Amino acid sequence: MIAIIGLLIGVAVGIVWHPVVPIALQPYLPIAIVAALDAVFGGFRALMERRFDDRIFIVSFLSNVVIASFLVFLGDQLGVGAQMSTGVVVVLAMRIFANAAAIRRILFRA
Amino acid sequence: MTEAAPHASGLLESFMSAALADDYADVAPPVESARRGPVFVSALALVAAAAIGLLITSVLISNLGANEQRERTRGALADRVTTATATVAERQSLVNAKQAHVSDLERQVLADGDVTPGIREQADALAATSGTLPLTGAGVEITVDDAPDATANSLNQVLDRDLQDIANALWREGATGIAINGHRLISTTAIRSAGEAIVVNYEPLARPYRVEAVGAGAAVQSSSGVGRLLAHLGSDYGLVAETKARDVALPAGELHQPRFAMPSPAPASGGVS
Repeated sequence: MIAIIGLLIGVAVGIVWHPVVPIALQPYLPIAIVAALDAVFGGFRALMERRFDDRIFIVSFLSNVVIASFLVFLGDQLGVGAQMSTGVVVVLAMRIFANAAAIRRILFRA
Repeated sequence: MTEAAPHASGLLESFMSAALADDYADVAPPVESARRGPVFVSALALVAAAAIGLLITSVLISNLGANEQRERTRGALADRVTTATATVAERQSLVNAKQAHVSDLERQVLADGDVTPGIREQADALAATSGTLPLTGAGVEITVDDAPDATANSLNQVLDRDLQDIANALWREGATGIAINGHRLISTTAIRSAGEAIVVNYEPLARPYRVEAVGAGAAVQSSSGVGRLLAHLGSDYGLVAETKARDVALPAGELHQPRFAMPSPAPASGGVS
């Protein structure tokens, strides 16, 4: 519940405030968003399974975003930025799909 | 697949089970109400969720802004092109007026008695051949356009090559002057493509293309070289062409730079070079 309220607050703030993303951060933002989405789906699934935990939500969000952005940053420095982004996105997307499948099973029993 | 496999054997399997493990796997027993930690943890969760929402929204908004920005830039560039084209047209009409004036002066000079006999006829003949004077007379008008189902970058569009072929066929048919969309073909004219447009005398043309020729009256017959070329373009590429016999009026050619004519060093003497 808290997570959903926070999400809505964030969206409202974004719409009102129109934040400008610094150029230096722009390459990492899409990855950070995919990582954050993973945390959101994981949290939603836990909510459905009645084992949501604030602490795990925070840790999973922060670690996902930081590690994903850091991996892409590192990849950029090593000259394999594109491949690293692909790898990170593939793993995160698989996690999102797995969580979505779990949510779907709970919601629709299918 | 999302459950951590306790006896994962292979490397891939253990990697998958670790990478895809459910974040909340350790929160073992499903309890009736959602678990609550201390208040500050809940507040942190609120902040984290707000951060996620902000992140997503900001990227969406900045992407939308980028699109708007691109559209604006494109519009501004298009405006500049339109303005520049209008300027070119304006200056071209000025050049045409000046050229007509020069021709008049030339005639006046040639009309004076003290020039070599026959030079006026020679000048007229040269002017007609070189296309520096307007030309009217019986001729043909050919309108060519892309195939109705033409897509960008396909061969079903009229290419510079097609207009070149049509012009050459008209010359072979005995045309004494040709203009495409009002641009007279002279010896220095190039029919080329630049980007997606066909350019004649450095001016982009708009569809449909109208090729007018004085003379070449036989071109209306389908057995003529022009007729065969158009039939071939129609059957192979679907280009739409229409040929009409009519009186045409061609403008004078746009001479961008005289090759040999030089301004007279002493205008007072009235010499013509």
